[in-house]
Amino acid sequence: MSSTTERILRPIKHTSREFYPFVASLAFVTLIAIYAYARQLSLGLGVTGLNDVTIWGIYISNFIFFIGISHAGIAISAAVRILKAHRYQPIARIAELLTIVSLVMAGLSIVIDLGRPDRAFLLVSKYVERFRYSPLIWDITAVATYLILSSTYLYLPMRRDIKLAAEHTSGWKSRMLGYLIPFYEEGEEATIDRLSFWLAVTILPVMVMVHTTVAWIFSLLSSRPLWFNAFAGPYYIVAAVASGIASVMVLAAVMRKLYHWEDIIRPDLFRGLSNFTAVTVLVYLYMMMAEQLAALFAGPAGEMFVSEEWLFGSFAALFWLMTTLGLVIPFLYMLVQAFKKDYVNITWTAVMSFILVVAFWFKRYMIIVPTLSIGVQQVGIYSPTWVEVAILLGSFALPLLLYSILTKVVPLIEMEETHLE
Amino acid sequence: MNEILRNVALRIADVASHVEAPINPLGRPLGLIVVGIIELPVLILFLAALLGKPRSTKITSLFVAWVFMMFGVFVGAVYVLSYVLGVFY
Repeated sequence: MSSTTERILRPIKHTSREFYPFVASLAFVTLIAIYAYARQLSLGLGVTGLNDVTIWGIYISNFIFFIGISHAGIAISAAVRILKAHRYQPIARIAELLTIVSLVMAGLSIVIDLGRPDRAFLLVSKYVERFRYSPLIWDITAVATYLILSSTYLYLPMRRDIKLAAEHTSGWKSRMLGYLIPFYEEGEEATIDRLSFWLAVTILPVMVMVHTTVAWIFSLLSSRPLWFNAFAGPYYIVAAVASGIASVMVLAAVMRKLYHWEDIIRPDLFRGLSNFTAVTVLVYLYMMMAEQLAALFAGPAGEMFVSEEWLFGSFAALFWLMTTLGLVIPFLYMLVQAFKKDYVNITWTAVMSFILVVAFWFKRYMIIVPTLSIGVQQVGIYSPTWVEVAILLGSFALPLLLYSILTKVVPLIEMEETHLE
Repeated sequence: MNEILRNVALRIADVASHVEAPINPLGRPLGLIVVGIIELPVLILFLAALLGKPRSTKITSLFVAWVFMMFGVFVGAVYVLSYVLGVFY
């Protein structure tokens, strides 16, 4: 076994002492969130800041956010396979796992938001009669399809690596890994490569439709100021790609540092992703400007009112902080970095990416809350309660926990020697 | 006074936009088209999986089985979650 393979398998074979308290703290935050959700479940949505006017808040912001994050994984991985961008191969699986975990969290966010989650089964049982006129059902169709295809796309090429990992571990770990690859046969890679290529080709349009249908949930409600927008699909997709790739950069930087993969996850890879993110953030800023200008200059009364509140009213502080600190500064940093020949500072790129991710969460919050709380009746006030804040923290702790556990089960980097040596 | 008038105007505009925004008033099969667009790539994928080369019956079966299993897991999870959370009511 080459030293590279040995190092890739290291997270599976060895667990550091620091791993346990880290996982325990994540589990603790998750448990508090479960307790908060249990209270919400038994006492009803009255324990949240949601009300008759502001019917959506943190939970739906989370939903859009996680759907957005889920885009990066497959976008990067599909680019590797379709465009032969092999230099991104080392982070492809890190990104794919992020996609799966994010999609699960997006689904849970919807369930958490339901006042009667016991009726969630109606989504399935009433599917045929509802899909004709419900953008929510279109979105669930797209998300489910995306989740199924993404998990297939993750699993199939991973079989060979799991086989390798099983061979190089012993005891229960080896047995458990063996159970993960039923019917494995030598030489199956050629067929799997072909299937993976077609999966990549297939997933990309589904990925586009996922965020387009998410956008339609809002943009087809024509009575809601700032939501009704034919642009919404591309607008949401750009945000999704920017926040998703920024998340991958943060994760890749952390993994690189933790597992000493400096020569596997190379600096030029961060440079490429950072440049791409800078372009998408610029496009997003342009779209945001176009949206606000149209609303302020000649929008319908409600639209003008909400836009005014965004820019100069009760949400102005959040808006300008999010835009300048969260979007413009990381963009400028990435832009300056792009102009320096062969230069990349991975730590700062990761920090700026993290700021971008946080800013995009707040952007999702801004999409929902101002429109609902002041857009229709101008009477609603929304301030999240501790239950929502606890669930929000838990919804970040849980994916981190799941991800941490997954790092101990599956190889995080494809062990195809040609890409690594 | 101006403020009151402004609020009244905004409310009227909101109510009017509510009333004048029926969903798909022409009754076109838009939902069917959207779901068709979402699922079309899956059809292409299945065709490519079944007809392309190199081909392995075992791996293709595994692939198809996995996709259907994941579909079952998704639908099952919705029902299980509904049932489990329904215990609280």
